[in-house]
Amino acid sequence: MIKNKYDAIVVGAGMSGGWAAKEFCDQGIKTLLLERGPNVEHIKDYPTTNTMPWEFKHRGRLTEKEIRENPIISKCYAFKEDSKHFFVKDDHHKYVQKKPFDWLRGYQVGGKSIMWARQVQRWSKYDFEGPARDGYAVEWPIGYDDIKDWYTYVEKFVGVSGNKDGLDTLPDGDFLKTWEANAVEEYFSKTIKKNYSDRHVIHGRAAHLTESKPIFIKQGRGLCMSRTICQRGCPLGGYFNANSTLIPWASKTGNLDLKPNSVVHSIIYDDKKNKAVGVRVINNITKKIEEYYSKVIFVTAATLNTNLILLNSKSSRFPNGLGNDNGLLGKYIAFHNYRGVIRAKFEGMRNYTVKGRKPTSHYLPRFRNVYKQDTDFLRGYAAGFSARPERETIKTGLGKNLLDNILKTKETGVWNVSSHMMGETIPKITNQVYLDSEKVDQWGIPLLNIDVDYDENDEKMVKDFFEQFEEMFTIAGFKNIKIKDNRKLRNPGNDIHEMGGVRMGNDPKTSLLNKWNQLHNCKNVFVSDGACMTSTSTQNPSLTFMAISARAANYAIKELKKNNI
Amino acid sequence: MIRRRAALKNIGIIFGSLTFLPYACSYEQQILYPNLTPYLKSKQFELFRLISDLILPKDDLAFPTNESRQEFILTMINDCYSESNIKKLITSFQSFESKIIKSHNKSFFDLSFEQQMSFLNNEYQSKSDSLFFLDTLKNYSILHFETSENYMSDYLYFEFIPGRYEGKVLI
Repeated sequence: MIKNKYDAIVVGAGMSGGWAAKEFCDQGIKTLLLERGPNVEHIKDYPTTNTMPWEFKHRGRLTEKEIRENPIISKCYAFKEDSKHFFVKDDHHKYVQKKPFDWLRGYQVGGKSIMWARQVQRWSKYDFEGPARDGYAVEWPIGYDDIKDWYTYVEKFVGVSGNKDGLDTLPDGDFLKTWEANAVEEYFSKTIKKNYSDRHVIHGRAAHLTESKPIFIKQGRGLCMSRTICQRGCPLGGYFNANSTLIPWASKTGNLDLKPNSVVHSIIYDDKKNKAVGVRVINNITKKIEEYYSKVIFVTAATLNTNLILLNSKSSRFPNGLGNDNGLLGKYIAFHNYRGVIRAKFEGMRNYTVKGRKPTSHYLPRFRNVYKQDTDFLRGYAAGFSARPERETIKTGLGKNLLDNILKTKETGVWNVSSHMMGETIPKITNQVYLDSEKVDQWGIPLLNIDVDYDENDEKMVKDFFEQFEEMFTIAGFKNIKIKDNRKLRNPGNDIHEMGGVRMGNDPKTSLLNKWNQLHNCKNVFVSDGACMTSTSTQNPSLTFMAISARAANYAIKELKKNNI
Repeated sequence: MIRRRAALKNIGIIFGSLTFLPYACSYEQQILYPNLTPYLKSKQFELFRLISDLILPKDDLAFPTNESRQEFILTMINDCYSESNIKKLITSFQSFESKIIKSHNKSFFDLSFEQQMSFLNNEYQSKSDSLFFLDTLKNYSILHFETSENYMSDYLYFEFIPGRYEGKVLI
C-alpha cells in the first residue's frame, strides 16, 4: 500500500524545491518531494567526478552521433563527455518550438543544481522596481527589503564567496572570502573605476566554500579545491548543489519522503473544498498513475515544467489550468540575452601569470538605465570579465621537428581577455507557452508549445553592449578586439534562465501569484521557482529563486499552523 | 595413447586458432570501428598507425597513454567524424595511396624511413588531395599526445586538484 498522505508536497527536487522541502522538514512538516528523474545521491552518483582528462575516451568531446541526435542540448556549454549524463536528451521529453527555443533541462534529483554555473548575485531595489518605473510587465509585489534577509539566510547555508563592494546596484551579502583577482582583472577593475563613475568590475560572487564554518561541517561539505569540474558533481561538496546540501539535510530530519521517477501529471483540485488536495503522478518505472495528497503543494519543477503542470491541471473550476482565471498562465515568459561576446588580447602585465584555478571570474553589474532611462532601449545588461595567460604551442613541422615544437609549449606573456553580456529581456504577452491540442509525450501529457523570441529591444541592447565594451577595452589598452553576436547559436533558452509564465503581482487580474507566491485563486498552491518571476533583471537568478522559495515556504508553514490553508 | 590424442587435439586447437586469427582481428575492428571497416582493410589500419607515428614520433616510455595512438585516432574518426567527413577522409586517403604507387611503385610500408618522410613532406608542401587525411592523423596524434598524463603534468603543469588560485605570480 502506498503511503500517500502528507502535510506538504513539493514538485521538483532542484534548487527551489530543495529549499522548500528543507524548510518544511526542518519545522516538522511531513513532506513528499517528487522528482520526475532518477535519484542522484551525493558522491555515489557522480560517475565521472574523479576521471582524469586522459581517461575520457573522446577527451571530453561529444560523438558525432550524440550531436546529430541532440541538436538542442548539444549546444549547451556544459553538455560534454564528462557530464552529459546529467542532461535531458532531445528525444526524451519533446516539445514544440513555435519559434527556435533551446530548452535545456536536468531531470534528476538535484536538477540543474548539479551542473549550474554557481554565480549568485543579489538583486537590488533597482531590479525589483524596474517594471513599475519603466512601465512593462506588472509591478513586483515585493521589493529588496522584503527579501534581503532571505538572501542572507540562503547565503549562510549555501556558502558564497565574494567581496563586499558597497554597491547599491548589487547589494553585498554574507560572504566567505573571495578568490584572488589576477593581475589583469585587477588592472581592468582599476582602469574602469578611474574612467567611469558608474561602472564597476568586481569579483563574481560564487557558491563555493572558501572558508570552513560549523554549518558547512554539519552539512558534511569541505572546502572548494579549485578542480573547476563542478558540472560532474563535487565529492567534496565544495560548491553548492541540492544533492550535497538541501536533500541530505532534509532527509536527516526524518520528515522527508523523496520519490524519484515520479512524473507529475497534474495538481488535483477539489471543487467542493475549493482547494487543491493532491498531485497526480505517473510512476516512470511502472508507468502507473499514483495519487498523493497534502494540505499544501509547492510547484517548483523549473520554470517551463511548472507552467506545463499548471496548464495541465484542469478542473471544472479551472478549465484552462490551475489558477488561470485571467488567461495569463504561460504568458510573459522572459529570459536572459547572452548573445554578445567580446574578446581581445592584452600585452601588459607580461611579468605576471597565475597558478592553480578558480571557479569564478569577474563581473560588471548593470550600469545602463539604473537610476533613470538614458538609452533608446529598456533596462540593461550585466557582463562577465575574465583574463587568462595565453599559452602557445607551435604545431608546424613533421616528425622530430613537430615533437620538438610541441615540447617547447610556453606562455607568451599575452593575456586573453573576454566579456559576455547577460541582458534583461522584457516579458511580453506574445512570449508564451501553451499545451499542444494534439501531441502528447511518452507519459501521455500534452507537449508544451514554446513561442518565445528576441525583440527589437534585445537587438539594441546587443549593439550597445558591443559599443560600450569596445570603448572600455580600448581605454584599457586591449588589442585585437573582436566582437561576436551568437544570435544563431544562442536561441532564447540557451541561457538556461527562462523565467515567468506564473508571475507574481498585486492584482489577480494581471498576475497569477500574490506576494507570498500563492496562486491568487488557489491559496494552498505555491510557485516559487523561475516561473514566479515578474521580470528577469540581469543577475544569474538561482539565488533569488532560493531566497523566494525559503520565504514562501516559511510563510506556508505559518499558514499551515494557523489552519489557514 | 590418451596423451597422444590429447596432444593431437591441442595441436588442432592451436592451428585452428591461428587460422582464425586474421578474421578475429578483423572482427574486432568491425566492432570497434564500424564506420571505418566498410572502407578500410586491416593493413590500411596499420598504415594509419605507421603514418601517425612518422608525423609525430612516439615515446611510450616518457609519455605512456591508456590506449595506443592508433586506437585513439581510429576511435576519434569513427565516433566523432560525420559520414561526409569519413567519406572525405577515405577519398583523401585513397589519393595518398595511389600517389605512392604512382611515384614509387610499391607500398608505403616498403619505403625507407627517409623516403617515407620525404613523401609526407612533399604531400604537405604541395597541399595535395591527401592533406585532409594527413591533417586528420596529425591533429589527433597531437591531441593524443597533449592529453597524455605526463605531457599535461610536466609541460602544461596540469593539476587535478590545485587547491588554490594565485592570481599575481611574478614570472
